Amino acid sequence: MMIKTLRLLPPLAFARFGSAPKPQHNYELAENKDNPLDFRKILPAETLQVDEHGKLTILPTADHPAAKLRNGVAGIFRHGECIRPVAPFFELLAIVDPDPDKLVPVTLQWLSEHGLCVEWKVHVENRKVFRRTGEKDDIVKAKIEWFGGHEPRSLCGTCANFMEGKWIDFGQVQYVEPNGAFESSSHVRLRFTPAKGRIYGPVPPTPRDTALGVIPIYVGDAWRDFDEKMPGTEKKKNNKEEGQAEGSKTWPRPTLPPSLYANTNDPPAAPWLNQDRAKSRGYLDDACDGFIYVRITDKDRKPLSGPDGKPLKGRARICVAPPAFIPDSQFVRTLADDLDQVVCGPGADDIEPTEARRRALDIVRRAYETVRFMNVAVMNGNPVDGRPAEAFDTMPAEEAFAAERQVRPVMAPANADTAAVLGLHQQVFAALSSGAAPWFVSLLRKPEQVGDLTDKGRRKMPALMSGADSYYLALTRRQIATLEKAAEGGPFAPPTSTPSLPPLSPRNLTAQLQYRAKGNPITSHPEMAIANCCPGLEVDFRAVWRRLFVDIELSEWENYVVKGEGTAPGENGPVNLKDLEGHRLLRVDGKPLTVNLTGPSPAPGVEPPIVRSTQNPNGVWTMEWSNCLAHVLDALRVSGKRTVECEFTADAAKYPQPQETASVKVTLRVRDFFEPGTAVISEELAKPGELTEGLCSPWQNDLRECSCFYWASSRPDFVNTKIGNDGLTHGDYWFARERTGKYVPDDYADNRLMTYDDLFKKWEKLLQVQIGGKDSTPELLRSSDKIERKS
Amino acid sequence: MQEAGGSVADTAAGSASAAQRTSAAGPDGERLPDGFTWHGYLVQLLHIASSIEHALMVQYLFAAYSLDDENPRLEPDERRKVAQWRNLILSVAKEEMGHLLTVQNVLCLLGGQLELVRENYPFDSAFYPFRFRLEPLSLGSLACYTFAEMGEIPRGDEGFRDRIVNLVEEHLSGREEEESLKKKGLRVRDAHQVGRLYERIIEILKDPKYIPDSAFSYNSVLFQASPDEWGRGYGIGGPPPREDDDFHRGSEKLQKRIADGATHAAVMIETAATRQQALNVLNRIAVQGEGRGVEPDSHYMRFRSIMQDLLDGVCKLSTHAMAENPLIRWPDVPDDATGNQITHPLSEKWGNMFNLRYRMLLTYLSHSFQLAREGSAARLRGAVIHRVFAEMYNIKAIAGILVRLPLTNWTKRERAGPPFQMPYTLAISMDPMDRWQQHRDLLRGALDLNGVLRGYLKRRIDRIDAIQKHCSWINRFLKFNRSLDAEFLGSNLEFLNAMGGLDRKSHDWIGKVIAGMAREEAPQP
Repeated sequence: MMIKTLRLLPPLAFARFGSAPKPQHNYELAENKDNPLDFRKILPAETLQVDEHGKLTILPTADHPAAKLRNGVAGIFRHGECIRPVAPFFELLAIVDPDPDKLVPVTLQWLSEHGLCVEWKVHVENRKVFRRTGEKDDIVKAKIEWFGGHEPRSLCGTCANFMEGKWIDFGQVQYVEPNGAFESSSHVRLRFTPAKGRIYGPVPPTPRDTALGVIPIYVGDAWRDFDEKMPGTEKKKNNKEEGQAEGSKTWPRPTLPPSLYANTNDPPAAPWLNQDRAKSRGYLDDACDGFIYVRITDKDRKPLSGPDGKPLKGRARICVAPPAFIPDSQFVRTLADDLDQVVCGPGADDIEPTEARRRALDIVRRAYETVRFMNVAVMNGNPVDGRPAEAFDTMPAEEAFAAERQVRPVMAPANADTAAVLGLHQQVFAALSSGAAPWFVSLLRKPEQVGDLTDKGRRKMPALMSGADSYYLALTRRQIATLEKAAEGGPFAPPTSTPSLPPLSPRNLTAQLQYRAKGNPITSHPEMAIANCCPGLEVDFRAVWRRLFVDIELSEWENYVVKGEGTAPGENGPVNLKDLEGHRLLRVDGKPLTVNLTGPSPAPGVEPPIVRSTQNPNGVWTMEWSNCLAHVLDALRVSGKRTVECEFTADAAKYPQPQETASVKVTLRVRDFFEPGTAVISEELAKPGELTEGLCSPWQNDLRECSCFYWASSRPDFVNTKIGNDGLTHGDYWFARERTGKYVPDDYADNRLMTYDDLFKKWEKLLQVQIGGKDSTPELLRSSDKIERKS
Repeated sequence: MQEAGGSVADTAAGSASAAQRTSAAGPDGERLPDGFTWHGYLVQLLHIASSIEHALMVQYLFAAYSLDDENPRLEPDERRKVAQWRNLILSVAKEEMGHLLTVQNVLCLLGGQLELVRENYPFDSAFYPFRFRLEPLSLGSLACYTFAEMGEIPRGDEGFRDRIVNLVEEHLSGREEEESLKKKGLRVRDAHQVGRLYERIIEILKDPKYIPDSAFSYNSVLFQASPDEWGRGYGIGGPPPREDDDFHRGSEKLQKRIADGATHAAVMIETAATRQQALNVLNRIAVQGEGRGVEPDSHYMRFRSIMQDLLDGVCKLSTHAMAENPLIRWPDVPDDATGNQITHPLSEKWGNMFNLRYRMLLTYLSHSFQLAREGSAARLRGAVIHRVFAEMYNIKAIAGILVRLPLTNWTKRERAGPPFQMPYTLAISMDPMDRWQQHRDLLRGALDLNGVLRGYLKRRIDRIDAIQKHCSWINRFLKFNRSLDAEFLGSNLEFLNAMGGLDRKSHDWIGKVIAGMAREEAPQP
């Protein structure tokens, strides 16, 4: 038997912070059969335990917290005051002769029979500071070279700008010792345990840093006092990253949203409440992303080669992220939806009608699971307690600020109550479960309609939330096509409620992406990662698309060319791609990358006007990459079309430009999205650290700052809800220090809410995991509040 | 809480005698019928208009639900075509719903009573040529709908009009209304009576001699249905840009839009605060129905496009074998009621559930006009409006079930279909708290019926399971015959579980509202 190639699965997994000594247990979500519209039930699932020597055991079911009667489920996610980290496993599989269409687990027996060993290597980085400063010395890097033992190996994140001998603890990896104790225990697997979620900061620390428990480590001068929006900052920045043009003035550009880092402003610290200024405190976090590599060697540690003579290696991606605070709900558009679109294309021709209806039902379920955690009245832009809508951070307020227009509620204010809107979504779910075809397809927002700021446009579904482009959220094209397919009709086929995992095979990338390694909870999967990355919670998926075209690098959030090198064929001969730096990519194969922002018509029958503003004088915006470049990957997948015709503005342009702008055509090559033959996002698209570099530093800042209109069912807004005697929904804001049942709208100047510093200091204790829509450990919050009051 | 303060308060009519209300319904001449004031006469005409819009909507819904795009004999293209026809008819039905609400708004402005009753009487009047009839879509029934929405015949389309008239006559031949049709003269140029009704309403409304300024409730907008609340993400219909008068160009534009998937509705819901606004909205209703010259998106043109497809043989018509005028025999329904009684035990239970949800829909709708858009009642109004939509979804889903269920135990092929029976009354309580209690009563009834249905379904599924132990092919056989297989019954059960959960939530919610009212915590009526 000969190994042809190796696969490390899942190809992408998420680890999540937590300082509890033992990781999160494995669990499954199941529909509540008695009340299918209620929260999904958290059920115990096979949980693997690994000791310090790498020995593997299975937790007896009786010891699983979910099997315990009284408030047991909370124990899955928390141990005392500490959050349990999510520590995913990666399993090694191989394609072997004589059956190249199968992926088989690599096991202890097989290794022993052939006298072989397995070795691992890890490379992760944190580039968040580098993304802002452009200083190569700000990259925090952790590498573990090839190893084969079963003891835990620490990931020490080092950086040129750290104090000598100091490093950020990125967590650890452990090669689990295979054994024959039970079925599948002989499989070869590695566990990644993330860091605790600590904050690191400058040397010397300020008294505030010390009070917050910030670990002093950073001695560089670029990050402390960094101010992204300070006039002239860009001129000072020279990107010294390897391969990047010296003296380039195009990179790094501000992130979107800008100033995503802990700043020195007094509360309310949000930059937009402080003349758009945010001076960095110089904080870093212990998030990272990168690759885990595996290889097979002989007993002398000589790597084995495959049939092509190349070393036999496999790899997978790991991303470290904040905890999933609503473990029994899913967001309406997750990273799994976006990856599904990459693998299968934007259409739904490959989906059978029955499966389309099941998926339609699943999308609607996730829609109401999302609505459930939003204070719809507030998010709609209704005034609260006599205060105007612009006083609070909501999508209509965000839209109004960006467009320099007055805030307008999206829906009729009277229609916006959480329970009422939730009930309506659930009614849709109920009707679909009868076998009815979806009838609401025309109500969905198309990706090209994200800039439609008319009332009709803003009321399209999904409503009140932001997409990755910072305008109103649209589903993926494939999700929309799936709903259309389900609406098409066909033989009566009620949707089946349980999805069946696709059969695993080397060619089936969907199956590989959905692969459930033994012991991995759903929180480690892309299904629990949000996809409207602006910038994101788990990953900044926008970053993946920057280098889709060979020799051109775009900003992660707009069509601005930050880097070009080499030449490419143009209309009138070769075009020097460096000359395109600062230009904007308008179309790819004739399809626009931008939309016009349009507002309500001044009178019936008049075309809606373009919405212009100081920072966007042309009223144009770049659509999110995932949807607007889906056709490029689809053409590559279906017909192998490797080259595309890209049209750039003829001149460099600071502001987004309309489609009518004079342009130049260049033919560019398209990169593969995945590493060949695998479902691992290509390293050429995103190096270690690049999937998380656009996220906030530290991540707590973003979690506090980004309101519910980004990720309602991952970062909740409205919790502990119940119907009051006025017939309306009442509950708490997730960030309220004290749970009173009276919602406190998100206002950074309101002392009743947790501050950035609260989260830096004790996020684990304060942030409540929601189970069944309720705080799972309210006593922790109460005790914390008492201590605060005493002090 | 501004409840019961609307112009349309507490007087939502029940099923008044047809004879009483049709005496003055003729459109001919300027004569005011005996015993009427001009205001009273105008309100009556608006009631007739409302009844016609309601009846049209229901007939169109029935026709749309009858289309069977699940027929395994259809090719994929044919299936898409049938689904497209259904969506076109549904879009017209949704727009009729908008017309119905807009007419209520005009009634509000005039201080008239809310009118949601739909009985046969408008069809005995001179304003509508056909009797109310729930029937599966056929060339003949479609010709009737096309004829009903037909306005001024566009230049170049006279031949089509003649063909329609022939089909209508053929479809109705032997039916009792044929005689009255002959009297009304189907072939006269202005035979479109719905349009004439609106013309008549407009003639009276615009003249201050008949309707003085003092007759208007200028503060009634607060209670009227608004496009913001009711339009959802559908297109809000308004006056479309005037197309040219060339019929063929207009027709081509429509075909292109349909091919591009534009089969969704532009629901026109407009408030009316003044006489002129009321005139404008009534004009627009007329235009959206029959079109103005050649209006590609008019109801007439949409029906016409389906008609043309059928006449050209683009695709064969595939419908569920639904009975005409299916009905549940209630104790108070006279024995001579025309229609096909649903007697299959499961179909009958679902038919009852359908009628109950239809009643709940109309009751919520009626209540929404009693709650002001501003002030403390506003959000309750919003929640009540959401429940109107929720009941629409229930009706849609149950109709989808009923078109698959047998009419009786003895008919093999004939299917039941949604009965759309009007409740014995639509009057809502005088006391605001009792109105909420009324919803609660209906919900309790729905929960009881839900339990009965679930019990029946479980027994039936158990029986199939038991048979399957001996005949493993039984479920496949049932499925092949598009009969009541375990999968279908199981999905019924899932739907009922979800529906029951929502009803319990609604029941509790209303309990809270009532408790709040009792303790004066909630906004007071």
